Amino acid sequence: MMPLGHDVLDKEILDRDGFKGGKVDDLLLELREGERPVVRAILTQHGVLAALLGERTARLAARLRRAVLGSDDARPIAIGWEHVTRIDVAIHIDLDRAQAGLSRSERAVWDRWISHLPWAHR
Amino acid sequence: MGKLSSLALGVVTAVGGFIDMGELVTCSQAGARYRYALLWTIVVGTLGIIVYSDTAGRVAIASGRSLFDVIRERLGFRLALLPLAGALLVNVLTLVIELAGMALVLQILTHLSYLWWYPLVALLIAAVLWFASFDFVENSASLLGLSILIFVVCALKLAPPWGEVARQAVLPQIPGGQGLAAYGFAAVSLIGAFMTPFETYFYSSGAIEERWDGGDIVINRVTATLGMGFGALIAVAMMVVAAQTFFPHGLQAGSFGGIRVPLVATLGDLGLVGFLLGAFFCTAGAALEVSLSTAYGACQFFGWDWGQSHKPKDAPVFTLWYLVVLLVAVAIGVTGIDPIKLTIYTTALAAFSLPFTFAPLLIVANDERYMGEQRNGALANVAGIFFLIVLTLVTLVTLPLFVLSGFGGG
Repeated sequence: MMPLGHDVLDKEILDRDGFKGGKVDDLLLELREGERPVVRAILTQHGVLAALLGERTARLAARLRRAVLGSDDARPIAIGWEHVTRIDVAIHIDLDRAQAGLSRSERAVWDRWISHLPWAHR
Repeated sequence: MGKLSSLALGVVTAVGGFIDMGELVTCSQAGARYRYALLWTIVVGTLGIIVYSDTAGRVAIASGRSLFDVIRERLGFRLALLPLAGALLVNVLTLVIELAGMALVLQILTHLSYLWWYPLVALLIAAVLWFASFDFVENSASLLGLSILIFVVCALKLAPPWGEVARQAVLPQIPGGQGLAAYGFAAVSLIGAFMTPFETYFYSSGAIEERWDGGDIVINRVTATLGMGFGALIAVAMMVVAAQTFFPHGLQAGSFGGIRVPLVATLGDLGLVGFLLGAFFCTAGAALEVSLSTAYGACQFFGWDWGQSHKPKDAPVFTLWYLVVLLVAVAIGVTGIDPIKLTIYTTALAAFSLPFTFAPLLIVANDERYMGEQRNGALANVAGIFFLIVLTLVTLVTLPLFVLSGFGGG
């Protein structure tokens, strides 16, 4: 047994090769009539955190993200709970971070900004 | 392999982090105005930063988690925004003053206003971060920064009454005619300069980047103690030099250029060369570390890839962070804001912000799930809690002292 807020929320997500894939920004619960609530997914990146701070902050953050990442209508990424393999000081998942879409903002920053700088491709 | 380079990490943190623009300004002013009466802050500040670095290093080694990683985990996202925002603010201001230090050295050399040099030194820092590996940054800054030892040579030559120096480090004697509030604010500013927070972020991240393991715990402790103690020695020398030369004449090291006057008067050209080289590379080393620290902190908080050993392609968000931070610092620096005053305010703000990162770190250092066998022992906890109380007191008095002393001027 482990408390979700203490042991899952805000921990780093590591993909199957041990690469960083963001933090557990929020959790998605499934509520069904007559059944117990179940944790369905980890939510991360693209506005999950800003949404926690209220609507105005979320709009501001979305505008900032568009300015930095380009006209990307990226939505929060949900990683199915079944992909979580281990929980210790980090959350380990059995997916590849690129396939799971976790590197999308990193790649956008590279494509849009960093790759244009001199000697970026060395 | 690894052990020696780990020790080098401690030394570069000492020279580039411990001795930087903050010490150059605050130590000289303290010696000129209060003679030996603020030497005790070096003792408190050095012991404090040793405890803080040792804890941060041990957490990094035992759990593989960096400082802002654990701060967010323990405080939760909303509450952790406070230390993050504080750290970003203090770091950006610190970067502004370090770049000013580099530019002011070039002003002395060329007689061209430091404002012209400002964007160029920022570009130099960006270029070093863009091209160089972590080892290069570490070694070059530490070796060249060692010229700052000229202050030690000068202090020895000036032959102060060492018995009196040692006595006042424990029992300070405030010179007559000085307001207590101004003295108190100067003390806060000094403690902030000795415990500059970016040193710890850098140290914690460096330990992970260099992949220290459990066997490095002893090295970690030796490094923290040796490195910071080495920095403290230079700080004592800086204060003593100003106390021997400025204080008897009622003078102040009012400008950055004024700091070199006693060195030149005592040691001639050697003093000048030592000062220029030492001041340039210590502030440059600090500028490199604080740029990286800011990028480390933000990336650790949001879970992006980070690391100076990554090429820009492998950690683009990290790269973007340090470039943006440098741009922001340049935008602030070229407004011509007084670098000396800003240094004193920045180090005071740094002192104010310390408990917000130290408290969560201390909690994690006691958490067995993170630390395993390396959990804080009784001694580490007594030292940690003692300094947490000291730092909290500093936070509580900073603002009242700032106002009572006439905004730091007194």
